[in-house]
Amino acid sequence: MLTLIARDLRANFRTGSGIWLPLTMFLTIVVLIPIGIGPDVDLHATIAPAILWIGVVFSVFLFLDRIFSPDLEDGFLDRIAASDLPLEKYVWCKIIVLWISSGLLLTILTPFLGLFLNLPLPVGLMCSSSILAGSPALAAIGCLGGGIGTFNRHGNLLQTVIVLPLSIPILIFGTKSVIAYSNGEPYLTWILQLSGISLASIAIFPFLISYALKTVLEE
Amino acid sequence: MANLDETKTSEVELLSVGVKNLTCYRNDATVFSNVSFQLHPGEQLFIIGSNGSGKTTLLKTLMGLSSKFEGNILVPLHETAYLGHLNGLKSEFTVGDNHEFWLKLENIPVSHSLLEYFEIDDLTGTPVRLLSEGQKKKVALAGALESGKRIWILDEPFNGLDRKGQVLLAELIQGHCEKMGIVVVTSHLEPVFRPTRSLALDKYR
Repeated sequence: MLTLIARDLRANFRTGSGIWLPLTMFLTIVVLIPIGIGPDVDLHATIAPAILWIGVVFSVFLFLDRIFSPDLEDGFLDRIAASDLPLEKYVWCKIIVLWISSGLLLTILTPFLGLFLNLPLPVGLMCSSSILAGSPALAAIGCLGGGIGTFNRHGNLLQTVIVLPLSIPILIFGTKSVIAYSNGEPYLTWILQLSGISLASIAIFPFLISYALKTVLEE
Repeated sequence: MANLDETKTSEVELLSVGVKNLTCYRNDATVFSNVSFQLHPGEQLFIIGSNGSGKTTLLKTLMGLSSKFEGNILVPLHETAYLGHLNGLKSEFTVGDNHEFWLKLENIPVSHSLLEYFEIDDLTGTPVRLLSEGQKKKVALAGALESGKRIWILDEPFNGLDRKGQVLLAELIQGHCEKMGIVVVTSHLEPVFRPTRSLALDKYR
């Protein structure tokens, strides 16, 4: 399994786009929105958690089409399905790789970009930990979208219909936790709920996704 | 490749690949019906058929990749090496990386003996995207067959290979069968060797 994760990460680094495009997407959103709003510093700090979180959602969902379709097109998935490795483990590795090359990187960047949005460093760190807790769920949802996107008929439409509603609770809990923290309210519940959703999605989604992939492989 | 002499003789005797009254469907249409065969160690099955006769469907069904069938199938999957008509190679990686990836995935000691056998061991540092179709096929075959599995199920393995490559592969298949392996191969071309068994799928439409 480590072999598979290492291979995919190396592929992401080597092609460049796999690592840099989510980062640039995130940077673009975080930089452009305050410029569009204008020099209202207090407003920036108020909407900063939402901007950072929306940036994360967009960056994780940037490449849903490229998660499984290359492996499907070159016959890699056929060989994996025919090998001793369970398809669920392969999917699990894909979720981990997507998370490392988007969610984890953005977690590290968030406190610094928070400063850019006039967000105090402690609040920025809080935002970053909420992203750390929630982004694994986003990666799992993204992979579900990627798996469903490989369907020949209506794949892309289904992908949007499934990915968007599933990501909304995570976005709400994520921003809510940061706002609660900066208002001095209890915030741990939100983080725990995010972690719970993440753990549950990493455990359940691989089975759904590999079922979707098996259906595609049969055609 | 694993040394087959070390395996217990009882295991070798038990090993077999068989289907009974197999009928396969694709898009609700019957591809072929009532195919039966039984292969024992040392036998090769050459599946011949025109385009669309269901050669790939049959192999996919044997490997458990398709559930649209009726009938009985016996294939010990943990003993089976499979290569479909696509190579499953990553074009951005080198030949060596691609080759070693499949061996590491199955926890098999890395060996380049089949790359040497196909005379492509000097290409280990070359990215796969720069190779010709035949060379890619050789890399994929080497990775799939180096695993030492006793049953080989190969979809159109002779495609893209030059005459010499076809002869090398045919000798490899015959050598594997002499060591009590089982090989199932499809082709739309005339075989370059004399298989012990053959199956013309066109008759079963």
